[in-house]
Amino acid sequence: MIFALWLLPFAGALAIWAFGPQLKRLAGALGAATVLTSFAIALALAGQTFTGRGVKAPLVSWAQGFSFGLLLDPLSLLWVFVITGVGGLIHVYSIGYMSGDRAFARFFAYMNFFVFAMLTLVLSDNFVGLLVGWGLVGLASYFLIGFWFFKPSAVAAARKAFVINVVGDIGLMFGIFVLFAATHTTTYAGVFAKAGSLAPLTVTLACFGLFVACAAKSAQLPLHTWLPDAMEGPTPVSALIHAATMVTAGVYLIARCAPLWDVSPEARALVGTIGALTALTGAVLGCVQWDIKRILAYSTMSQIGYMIMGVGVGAYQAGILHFYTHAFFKATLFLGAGILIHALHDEQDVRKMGGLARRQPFAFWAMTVGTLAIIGFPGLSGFFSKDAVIYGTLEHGYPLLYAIGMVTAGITAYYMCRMLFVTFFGSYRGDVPSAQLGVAASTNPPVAHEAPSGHEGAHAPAWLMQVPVALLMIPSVIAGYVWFGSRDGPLAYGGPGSLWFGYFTTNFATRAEAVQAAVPEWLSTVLVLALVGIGAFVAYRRYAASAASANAVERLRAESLTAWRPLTRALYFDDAIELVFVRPASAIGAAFARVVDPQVLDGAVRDVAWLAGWLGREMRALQTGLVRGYALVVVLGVAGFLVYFAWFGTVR
Amino acid sequence: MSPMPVDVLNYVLLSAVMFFIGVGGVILRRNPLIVLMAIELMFNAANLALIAFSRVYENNAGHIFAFLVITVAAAEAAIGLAIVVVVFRRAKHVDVDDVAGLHG
Amino acid sequence: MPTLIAPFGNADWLALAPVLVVAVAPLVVLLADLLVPRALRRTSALALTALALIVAGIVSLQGWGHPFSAFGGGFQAGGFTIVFQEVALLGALLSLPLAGRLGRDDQTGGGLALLLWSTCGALLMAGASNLLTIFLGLELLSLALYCLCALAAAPSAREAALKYLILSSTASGFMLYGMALLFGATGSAQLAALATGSGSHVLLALGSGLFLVGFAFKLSLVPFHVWTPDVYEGAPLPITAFMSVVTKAGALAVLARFAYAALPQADAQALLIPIWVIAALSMIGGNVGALAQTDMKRLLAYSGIAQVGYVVAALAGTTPLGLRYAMFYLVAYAFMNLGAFGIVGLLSRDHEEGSRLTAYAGLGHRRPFAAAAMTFFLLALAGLPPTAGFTGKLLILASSVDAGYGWLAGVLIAGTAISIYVYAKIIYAMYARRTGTAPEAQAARRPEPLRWLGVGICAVAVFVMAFYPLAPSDVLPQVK
Repeated sequence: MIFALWLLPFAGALAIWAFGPQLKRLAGALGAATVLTSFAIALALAGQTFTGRGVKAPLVSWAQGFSFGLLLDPLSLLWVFVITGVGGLIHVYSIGYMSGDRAFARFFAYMNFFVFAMLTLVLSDNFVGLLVGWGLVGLASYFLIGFWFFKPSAVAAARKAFVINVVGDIGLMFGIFVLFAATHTTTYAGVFAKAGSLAPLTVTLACFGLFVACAAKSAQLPLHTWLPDAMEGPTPVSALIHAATMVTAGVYLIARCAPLWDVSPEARALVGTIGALTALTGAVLGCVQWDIKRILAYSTMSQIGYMIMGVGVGAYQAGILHFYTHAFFKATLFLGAGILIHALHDEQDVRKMGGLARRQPFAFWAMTVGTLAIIGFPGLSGFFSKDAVIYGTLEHGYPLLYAIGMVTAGITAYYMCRMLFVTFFGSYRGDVPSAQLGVAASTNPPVAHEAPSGHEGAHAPAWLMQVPVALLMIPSVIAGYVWFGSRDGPLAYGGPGSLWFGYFTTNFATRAEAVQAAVPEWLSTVLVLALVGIGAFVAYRRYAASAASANAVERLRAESLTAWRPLTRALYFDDAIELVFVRPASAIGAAFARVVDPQVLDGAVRDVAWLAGWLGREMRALQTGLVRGYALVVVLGVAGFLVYFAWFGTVR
Repeated sequence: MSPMPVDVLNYVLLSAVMFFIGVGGVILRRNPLIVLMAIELMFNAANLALIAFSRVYENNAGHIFAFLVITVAAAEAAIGLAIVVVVFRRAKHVDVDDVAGLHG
Repeated sequence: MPTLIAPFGNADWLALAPVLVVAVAPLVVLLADLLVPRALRRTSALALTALALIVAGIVSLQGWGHPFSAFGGGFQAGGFTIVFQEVALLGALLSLPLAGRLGRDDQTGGGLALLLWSTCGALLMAGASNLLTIFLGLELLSLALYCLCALAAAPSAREAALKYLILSSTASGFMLYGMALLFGATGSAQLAALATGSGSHVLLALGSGLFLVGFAFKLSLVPFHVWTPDVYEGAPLPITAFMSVVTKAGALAVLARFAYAALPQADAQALLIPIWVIAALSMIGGNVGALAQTDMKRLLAYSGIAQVGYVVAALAGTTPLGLRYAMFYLVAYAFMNLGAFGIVGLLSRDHEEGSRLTAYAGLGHRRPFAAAAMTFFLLALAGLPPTAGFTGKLLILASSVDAGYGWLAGVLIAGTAISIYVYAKIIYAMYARRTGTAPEAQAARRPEPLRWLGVGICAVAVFVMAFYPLAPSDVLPQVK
């Protein structure tokens, strides 16, 4: 059963890849069907997973502490639910969204392949399988970001994601190497059994490597810059890979490796701090974006920051819960935005929208529900999970992170409401000239709508896109109630005994080492709500109250032109990353990039390579081609040898 | 006790001198034929040392080894000359520094 | 009174049987070349060569479990010898599909005969346990290779041959002088005599140093690697592939036997430190050198330098487990390296077009299967799962940490990190660009079942070995 769950999406990918032209429109249906069947199998396996210690399916093993197999325990089951459930719905949505695209079948082959890769990542019972899945999801993501390869910006974005993901993969490999060298095993069970007896420095070192991987995959500072750019991919891709599933792989890895993090307080502090700073940075940067998908991308980054902060400080259940609720409401938001983008012929700039509440009532309601959930409106899913994360930091003794989390919650309310109001309130500005709105003569020409060159074809029925969104809206509202449980307090939520979420996190129940926090939970909740209220109110004053008035256009223009430059430049992170990572990386391959691929690496090639590029050239310069020069190098090497051996022979 | 009228150290030192002359020839000379000769010199330095040691230990293995080396060196010279001819067939001068098409 | 004729019995010749098969086979190949009609010559030469290699492989395996010291200690049969012989035979066999167009048509027979004799040298080195046999094996291997390098019309092939000849002979000279000094230290040509630890300390140290240089050169460890990129680039593709595995197998066998069994226990670890140092240099230098290459054969040459660095690092501390892991990685390397060369061959028609990196731009869209296989081999060379390269590296890491060489493990990780960039760039180029005109004429591509067979075997082996790292036991080398 577990093999069927794992391999069905792969079979689908192969079938679509091989028979895409014959399948035509059925390719999408086949893709969705395989993923949803996997979901059904996961449901069937749920009981078994909760009662026992997980479903194990060893594949191969041998004596030296190696084994490869699958493991479906409560933690991976939760991820499997989201991957196949939300993934299946997004597949259905994509049938509508991608209809008319020339490469319709290819899209579903990639999407199915991604689902398979992601399942490999979460179902593996050892670090090697994890690494395989980790690499494969990166590959799938790379293909899908660059799906519209005729857009130069999409190719550039794919390249950036590729480079940063390589950094992460190296980090992961480093961590695994350290763990294997120390424990001689790669299985989770084997490594974690020995975690307590390892030198703390070894564990910290391994944790650091693993966290570099998390940071790259989950868009944490300072490796986050690829995520906003990744929005160049089709919107369903953004919803599935760059919001609901792949980018949360870092959260999964940290939760999975909780026994390691328990040993290393330094690593915990690092993860928590980076998570909090990412949450804050993402929220702040979200305030100045105008592209609806980039707003959502920064909010994703910010929300993952919350999750990482949660699992980092030790509030594993809270962090995992936030992953779970976020998958629903962020998918809802992205798919809602997709409906708008689709209807407006690939317009993504919210300044060119406005007044869409009446034109697109369905999208309006979907986005409203999503926004309310993400800002933590009482009773909706985000309210429970975000509150649990924020309070969790306090419970585990990180008051500073607690403060950052609170402030971020307020800012989140502000920028999400801003997006909602600018998009749906006031009057439609699609026909207002760009200059009047302060929309810069884009350096990134809007090739999108000419691109698929297929949106002119027959549109699929609207329900194909609306039903999945509607189905996602339901859990966006109610998913948080799983947190209700036995804990004392006015709101009585949280804690290991919670309704049935506890099943998913049984392995973490005993891990909580919460201290009595100085602030009672109800007071904390009230404070967060107050900040959220303030943020939403400011956004209302600025964007909604006067939205219908005549000077709304003028105000948007003013804001576009006067926004604080460091913010519009994304706090210069991109520039810094470009300088520190991307340029050397590009320069390393500069010499043969010039031959292999002049267009792709164009800009970077012209730059002077720093260390590695320099070394590579020096190494080449040494190879003069002169045989006597080579003989000299050999003789010098011999001389070096002889010095050592003569010393050894005479002195020792 | 040694059956040798001359101390073995002298033989070994002579062979070392021959050997390093050979090494110098490989590095310094540009004519491939001379380079091959320099390599032969290195081989023969080893032969000298082998035979000298063979006398010290009164052990035939060194002599056999030296004959083997002479045979192999002959084969090596034959192949070496053939390759030099092939490489420089159309050249007026033979100079190893002219052969540097492969580099980097 | 000493007997004039050494009493060599049947057992001695039986121990040498695989070497003899490969020594005699070239005569058959050459004879067939004279008798067979012109049209069949290439086919018959290839078939006979393959047959000889397979027979030798089977014969060699028969000796498993019967260690025997043949010819008065000159040749040791046993598990250790068999493993290295099989690797050498495998390397020769898998480079045959590439050798379909070795030289001109009428040169194929002669070329393959030389290839067999060269293999014969490697087989001899695998079991050689006195200085004479080692020298004989090494020279047999090398002399045939000098000729094989020149076996192509291009001037670059002749240049490669000349460079290889001069540099390799120089290294042989160093090694031979080292042998003379080792002989002087003990008065015996047997490696076993060294192990007793008697004899002159100075001569032992200096002799070991020069002796190791010769094998560091053959293994192309930095800084004795300088010849490798030029020779690999210039030599004909099948010969490059052959060299990259067979020479290294032979040289590694001697190095491992010397390190494990011949050096006196008291001094062994200290005497071998320079070898571990140059292994570390190779892991870094090979990968850095590969960064800026534009020629696939050259890139694989640098990659091979680093790979051998990994293998030698496994021997650090000369632990029995380390030797088994080194053997595992050597076999894995043979498969992934020959697989990569096989793809280069598949992309080449008459002039080795597949060795230019431009041939790989957009390959994923033109020839998806070739690109997928290449990606797999490059992942293996980079040491990423699910390949034997990854498993092998994990094992080496564990053994070097256990043996107390943690710093080598650190260097290995650093080298791996650099190498990921090297290979990722190629993979990226294969899939990133959709356009790109095929350098090889699409229409004129002929079916190449033999090359695909070779590539397929390599791919399956690299995949399966990832999950079954069956490093053989009972393989410690003997010297007497």
